[in-house]
Amino acid sequence: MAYDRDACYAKILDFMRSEIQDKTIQFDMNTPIEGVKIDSIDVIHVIFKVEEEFGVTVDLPQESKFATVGEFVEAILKFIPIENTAS
Amino acid sequence: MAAPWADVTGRGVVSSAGQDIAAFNAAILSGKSCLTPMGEYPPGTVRFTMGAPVVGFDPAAHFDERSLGTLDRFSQFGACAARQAWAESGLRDAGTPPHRIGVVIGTANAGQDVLELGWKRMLLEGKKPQPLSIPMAMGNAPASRIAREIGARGPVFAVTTACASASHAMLMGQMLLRAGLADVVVAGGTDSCFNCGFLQAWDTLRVVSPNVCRPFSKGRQGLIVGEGAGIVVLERPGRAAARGAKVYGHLLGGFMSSDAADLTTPDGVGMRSAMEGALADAGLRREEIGYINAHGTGTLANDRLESEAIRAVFGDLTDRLPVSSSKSAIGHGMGASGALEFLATLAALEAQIAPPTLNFLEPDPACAIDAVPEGPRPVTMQAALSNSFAFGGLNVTLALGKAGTAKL
Repeated sequence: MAYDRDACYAKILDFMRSEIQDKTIQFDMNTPIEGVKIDSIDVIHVIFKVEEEFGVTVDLPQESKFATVGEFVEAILKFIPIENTAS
Repeated sequence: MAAPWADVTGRGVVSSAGQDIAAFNAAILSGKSCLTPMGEYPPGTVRFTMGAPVVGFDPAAHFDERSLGTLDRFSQFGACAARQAWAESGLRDAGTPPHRIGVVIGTANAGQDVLELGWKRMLLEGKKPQPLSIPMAMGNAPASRIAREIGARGPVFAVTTACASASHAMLMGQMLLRAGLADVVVAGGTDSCFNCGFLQAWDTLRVVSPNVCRPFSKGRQGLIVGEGAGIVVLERPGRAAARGAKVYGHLLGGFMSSDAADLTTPDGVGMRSAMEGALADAGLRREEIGYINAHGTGTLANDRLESEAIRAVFGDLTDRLPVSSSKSAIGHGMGASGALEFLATLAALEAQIAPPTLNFLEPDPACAIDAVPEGPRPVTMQAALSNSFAFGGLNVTLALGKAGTAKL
C-alpha cells in the first residue's frame, strides 16, 4: 500500500504537535528543530506512532541530526511507501 | 570514623494499609487486616482468593500525562513514597549539596507491568511493545526518578535481591553514610505485583495461601501477595539536630549473609548469621532487643527455620521476646517488604507497641516463639530487629533504635 505524500507529511506534523511539551509552539517545515523543543522521548513516541499508523519500521540512523522540522519529517518519509504521482 | 548509625528523618509509604504514614502506622499498630478479595481475577485463574494490593492509587493524581508515559506502576509507588519522605525530612530547602545526596531503592520485580502489557500487545494484538518499555521496566527506574525529583547527584542505584531488596537497599544506604560517600540517602523498596503473569507464576510455586496468611501458626498455608513502596530518608548523625529536624528512629546497624545453598528453601544458619551480625554491628546485646519484626512469610519452611534461628540467637530470652509478622496484615510486598516492615518496626518502637501476628489459630511446636497472636501488645523497648530473607538464600537483618536512643 502506498500513501499520499502530503497526507503523510501532515500526519507526522500532527504526531509532533501531540508529543511536544509546549503546545503553544507553532511550527512548519522551515522551523529550526531546536525551536520545537522536541526531546528524545518525544521523538521515540513520534516514530512509534508513525510505525503504528503506516505499518512500517522507521530505522533512523542513531544520533541523526536535523536542522529543521522539514528535514526530520523527510527522513521519516523515506520509510513510508509514497504514491507515485508522476503522470 | 563516621558514627555507625543513621538517623531516620523522613518516611513515606504506599501500601495496602494506606498511602501515608499516619494511615499505615494506625493499621499496623491496631492489627488491621489489609487483605482484599482477588476480585479482578476470575475464579480458576489462580488458586488463591485474597491479596493485598494497593487499592485506590490514582496515578493521575500524582503525575502528569507525560510522566505517566515514562513510569511503570512500581516507579509510581516509589516516587510517591519518596515525595512523602522527602517532604517530612524538611530537606527540600536545607541546602544539602546535590552530590552528597544518594538514592538506593530495592525492587524484586522491576517493571513487570509494562512488560506484560508488551507481551499482550505482541501476542494478542500483533503490535509492538510500548516504545519506552525498556526505560520503564529497568530496575533502577524508581531510583532515577526519585533522584530527578529531589536533585540527587550522588550515588544512585538499585538493589535487587528478591524479598530482601529493600533491606539490602537501606543497609547500603547506611553504608554510604558510614563510608562518607553521602550525607543523606533516600532508601527503601518498591514493587508492583498484581499483574496476571506474576500472580500465576506465584501460583505455580505452591507457596501462596488459598485464604489468609497466618505466620508461625499451626495450619499456615503460605504467603499472601502484597505490593507497595516504603521509603525512608537516612541522614548522617548530627545533621538533623543541627537543622532542628525531627528524628523518627535510628538504623543502628545491620548484617547481610548468604546461605550459599538452596534456591528457594531457606537455611537457618544464614538467618542466624544475619541476626547475630546485626546485633554485633549495632553494638547491641541480645537483652536489649525488645521486639523482632520477622520475615514471617507464613510458609511452613520459613517460619519453622526463622523460629529456630531466633531461638538459636536469643536462647531462653526468646520466651519473653515478642516476634510478629507484618505480612499477616499487609501481605508480602516482595522487593518492598523490607522497607514496609522497617516502617512497621519504627512505628512499634515509637508507640511502644508490638504489632500482632494476625490469623493465628494455635501454636505450632515447630515455631517456638511468642508470635503476639492476641492483638497489639504494649512493650517497653529501645531496640528491635527486622528480618528479611530472600529466595536465593540472601538474608538481611536490620537493627533499629527508638528515636533519641542513639546520640553523638
